[in-house]
Amino acid sequence: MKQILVKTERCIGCKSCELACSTVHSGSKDFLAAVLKRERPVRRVTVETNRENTVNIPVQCRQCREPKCVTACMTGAMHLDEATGLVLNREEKCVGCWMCVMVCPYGVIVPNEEDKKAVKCDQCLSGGHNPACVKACPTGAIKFIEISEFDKNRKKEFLTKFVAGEEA
Amino acid sequence: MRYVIIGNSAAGVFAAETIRSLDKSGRIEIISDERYPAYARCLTSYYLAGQMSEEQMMIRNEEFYANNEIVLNTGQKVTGIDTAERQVRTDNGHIYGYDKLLIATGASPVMPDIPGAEMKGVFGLRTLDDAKGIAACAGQGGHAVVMGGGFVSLKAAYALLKAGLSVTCIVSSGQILSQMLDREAARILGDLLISHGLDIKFHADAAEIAGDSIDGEMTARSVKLTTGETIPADVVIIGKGVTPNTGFLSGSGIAVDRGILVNEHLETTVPDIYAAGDAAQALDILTGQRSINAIWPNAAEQGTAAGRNMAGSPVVYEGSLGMNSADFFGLSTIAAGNPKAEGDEYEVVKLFPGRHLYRRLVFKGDNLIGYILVGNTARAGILTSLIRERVPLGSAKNELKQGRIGQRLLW
Repeated sequence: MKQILVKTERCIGCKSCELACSTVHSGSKDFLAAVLKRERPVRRVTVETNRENTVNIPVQCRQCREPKCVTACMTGAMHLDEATGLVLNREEKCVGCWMCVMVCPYGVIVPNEEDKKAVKCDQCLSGGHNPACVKACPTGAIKFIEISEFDKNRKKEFLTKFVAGEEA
Repeated sequence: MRYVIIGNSAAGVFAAETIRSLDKSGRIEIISDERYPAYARCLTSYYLAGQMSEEQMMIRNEEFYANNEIVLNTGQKVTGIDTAERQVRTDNGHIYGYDKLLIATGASPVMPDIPGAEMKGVFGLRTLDDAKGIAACAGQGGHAVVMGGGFVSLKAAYALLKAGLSVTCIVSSGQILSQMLDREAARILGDLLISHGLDIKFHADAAEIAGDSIDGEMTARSVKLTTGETIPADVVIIGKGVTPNTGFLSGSGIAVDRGILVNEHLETTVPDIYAAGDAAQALDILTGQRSINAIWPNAAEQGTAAGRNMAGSPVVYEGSLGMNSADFFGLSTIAAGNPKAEGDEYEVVKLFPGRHLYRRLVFKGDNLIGYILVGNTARAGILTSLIRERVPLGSAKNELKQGRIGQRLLW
């Protein structure tokens, strides 16, 4: 499977990824139009900055192999999709109980209070599996990289690099 | 290999799925005393509120059992286990032989020992049949009395309010959700529910349920309180806690304390017999003791871990954590760990960042051990993982004390 990974030293905290994510997941697919229509688009990625303002990281779902959000989901909405290896939410089943929000260790499941649906990164699967945040990143800090589906260690290594901000 | 699973809810279904992913050829049988495919118990209140159909409550699609070659035997209750013969007996005379057995029988509402509790129109709120029964007794404009101020009670009260009933909630203490919340948080939620029409009687208990004979059956009509007051009731819902379903184990040799005692592999005191979910008394991460944190996420994780161990892929269960999430009228509340801890060894921080917003953080030394968030609960999971993994906070403690919840990666 492919994983969204970050070279933190390249991230300047411009939040272009946030804007692109909101836009691509809006009904209008256009940020201004969405705002004018009062759509209040919800983004699935958040750029976080440390206290010293020296490190920025865009954070979205890490697509855990043993996702806490899936075991916490009482409706069967949140699930690990076998075909893609992605953690996906069947929104038609989601009731907004926020159990997933309660257990996600990265805090990347967004409670959409208006629709009462948990919202999370699906690597833009519905839009051709070509993540908008990756396309929008002006510095190439966000990468979409193939990693072996079955090699847990390799994935762990990548995740560690994600944390440490090393070259992926 | 013959796997038998008693119970068809979170723990049972997650275990069956896990076993099948590891053992493609073993025979998997689930025994259920209900007549439905697996559904989400926690959604019964959504069903009551009219927000959800029976079909929507199912946690797996129709093909789930067939696709995974899991045999579901419904409508039969296990009456005993013969551990020497490795057999499970049910009330309809069936006998199931097993090599590995999982007990995931869940829990049942504790019914109060007061006159009238056996009448028609008095329900726990646990099963889909309970929800159907309640809905049949009381519709829009009717009056419901809910006994108890805990999570199940308030979810039921909230659902019935939404369904257009007038609802009275009887709370023996002076506070709702007293296991999960402190006074400050409970007051915010209580005031919100009251402002939407919920009638809460604090420091009161039901003394008696009175009824009339309707079609030859005594049917609840009112609830008399210990305060002397009488409240009309078309339906009475009991939310005074649950007790693990372990009665059928007496004489089996399987050790039961409050629940079925299990080790770090979720195995009971009898080899090859495992227990998971609300019936199991397993390790609690915070206390290091064995206890029951009867919530869906813990049941599903225990089922998964038990399934692995049963299918010969050993894993140590990391332990359960007390936590819960509630959303009433759009106000989300999440609490986890030991949020009500008080005393010299704990450091408690309370923040009131705005209207209907409240944060309580409880620290012990350099660790977070509990929290309550009322309103804007996004990122609560970061706090939960700090508790679960006992992350040393260091300088991040000050950030947390100011209400800032950030990525651990950035510390």
